[in-house]
Amino acid sequence: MKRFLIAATALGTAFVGMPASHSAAVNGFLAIDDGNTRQIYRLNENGTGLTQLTHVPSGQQAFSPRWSPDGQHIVFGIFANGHDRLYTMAWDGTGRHLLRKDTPAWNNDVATYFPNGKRLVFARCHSDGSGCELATVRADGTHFRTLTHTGFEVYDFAPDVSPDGNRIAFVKFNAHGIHSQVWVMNANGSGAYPLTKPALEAGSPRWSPSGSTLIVSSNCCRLGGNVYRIPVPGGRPTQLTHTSWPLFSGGSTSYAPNGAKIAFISDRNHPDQCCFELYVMRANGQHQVKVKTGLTAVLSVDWGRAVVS
Amino acid sequence: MMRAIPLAAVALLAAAAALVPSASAIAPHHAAANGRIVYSVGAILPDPDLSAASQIWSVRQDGTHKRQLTHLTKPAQAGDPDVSPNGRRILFVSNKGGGAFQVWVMRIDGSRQRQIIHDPKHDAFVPRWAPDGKHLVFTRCMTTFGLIECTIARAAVNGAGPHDLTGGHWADFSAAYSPNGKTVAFSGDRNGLTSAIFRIATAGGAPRRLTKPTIEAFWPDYRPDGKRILFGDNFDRPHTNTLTMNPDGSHVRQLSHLTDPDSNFGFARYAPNGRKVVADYSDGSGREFLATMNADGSGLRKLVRTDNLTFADWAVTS
Repeated sequence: MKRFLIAATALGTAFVGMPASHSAAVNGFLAIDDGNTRQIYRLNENGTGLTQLTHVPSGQQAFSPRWSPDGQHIVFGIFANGHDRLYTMAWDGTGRHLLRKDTPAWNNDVATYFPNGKRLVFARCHSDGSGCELATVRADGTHFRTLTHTGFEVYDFAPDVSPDGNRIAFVKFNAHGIHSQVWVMNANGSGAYPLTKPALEAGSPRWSPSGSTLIVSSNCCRLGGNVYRIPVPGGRPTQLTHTSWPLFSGGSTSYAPNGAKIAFISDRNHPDQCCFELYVMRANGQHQVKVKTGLTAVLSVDWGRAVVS
Repeated sequence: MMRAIPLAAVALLAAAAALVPSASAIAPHHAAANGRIVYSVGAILPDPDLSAASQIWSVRQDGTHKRQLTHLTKPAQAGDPDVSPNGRRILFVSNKGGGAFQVWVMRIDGSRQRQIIHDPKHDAFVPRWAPDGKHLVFTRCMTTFGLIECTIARAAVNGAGPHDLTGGHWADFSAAYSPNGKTVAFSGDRNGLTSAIFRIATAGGAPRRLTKPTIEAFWPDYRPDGKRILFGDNFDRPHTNTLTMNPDGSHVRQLSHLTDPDSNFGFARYAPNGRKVVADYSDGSGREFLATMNADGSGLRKLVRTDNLTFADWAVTS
């Protein structure tokens, strides 16, 4: 019954071509994964330049891409042989590399980089479905460390690191009698607190480039849902999309690196809920436009920062 | 998959149990006499497993003289029995004839089975008699794009005038009338909670939450004197115990004190005299039973081995 549309982030370049070496807050590629083809793609904001980055065989699925801060790599998950594992690859899809090994008792899911690019945080889930905790690891796969410790059937998931690298937002499922709630904690795992009220059933948190707000998706695990902006450390949420039940907007979202726009997923044009498509809107919720990708099961999106010299 | 209870918590619970009044102290005056126990074996819940059997039975309160009241062939099922206030009829749900689960009524001996709710677009679960014997509440569920939403509905026992008491896109479930018929308690996942007990006036209005989110409370039942509500904790997780509270949600007390993390005592209902409860009990070894317990938490007794989810109600002597 539970529907988890997994959040993701991206870093990329504004132009099709090799990323440059010095960072600037210029919008670059969007990275998406598609549930029908089970592959990861890269594209420009206007839908041009769609490029398939993964070519996993039938029976496997590539998911939840996130760009490295230097624009050179993407971390992502692959489901294969009954388990999820994290990999990195170059920006053009070459050089796939297993981030870290783990025992069959664990799945490694939904990773994201710290802003310095040297560490990642990811959800480490019991293979028997009994819970997920958050953990960090260096980009070379060493120095694994568990950040959160959850109880039975409690799931810490979808972490996102603040732009200053000091805080992590994540969603906590099924804790304290609450379906889904976005929490914020310090980057070392201390000081965790719930940011959203239970009734919002919030998930998929993403930091704004300023670090002062998060966007979240409502109605986790049930029909309907919209994108909300909420101040950190807390306050009244502002609804940015207004898609009517049972359709949804959100599930996965991503701020543009310059903070002016937000990418999100929606089935708003499909009353039969056949298709999840990519949309972009201004950061205030106005001017919501579908991005034509030709893909009809977009599950997550991440908007990268172009790295220009 | 099971959750352990710390020893310190067990000690606290034992101490709390000592404060619970005795069964005789909580029995209402002029209490009705307890008759047979009617129960179903098989999980008829949203998204039911139609490959399994579910039939309705009755048994004496000492566990003897078991009788099978329904005789359906898979995938037809019958379950969720509720005995009328006068002890002569049973509400239940069944999918016989195919399609959605609907509310039926039959005599206490299983004869004269008759469908009373005709709503093929919704599944009906957990019907409960109103104290006047003329109305019922039940859970009305619909699956939309694979997700289940349920409301609490009310109708006349002849099926007339069905209408929702609750609304919104939630999974409200398992309602029970208060003995005065003015309110209905139900469990639901409203407002982002896993499960809590709510109360709503039968005349309508906004539901009021009675239990804390952390209890994950479900399956309420009013004591016949209306002064306590029985319910289970740990909804949708292993290790359910049964608790009671005042009708306003105050003074929560734990009734069963199972310590084995693989054991459960849930889906409990009061006996007509209020001195006992009947419930689904699993003892931690994988075996499941129809069981009774005194209303003060003492005297757990296995009546019938069922080895499947068991929903029971206790009839008044008719």
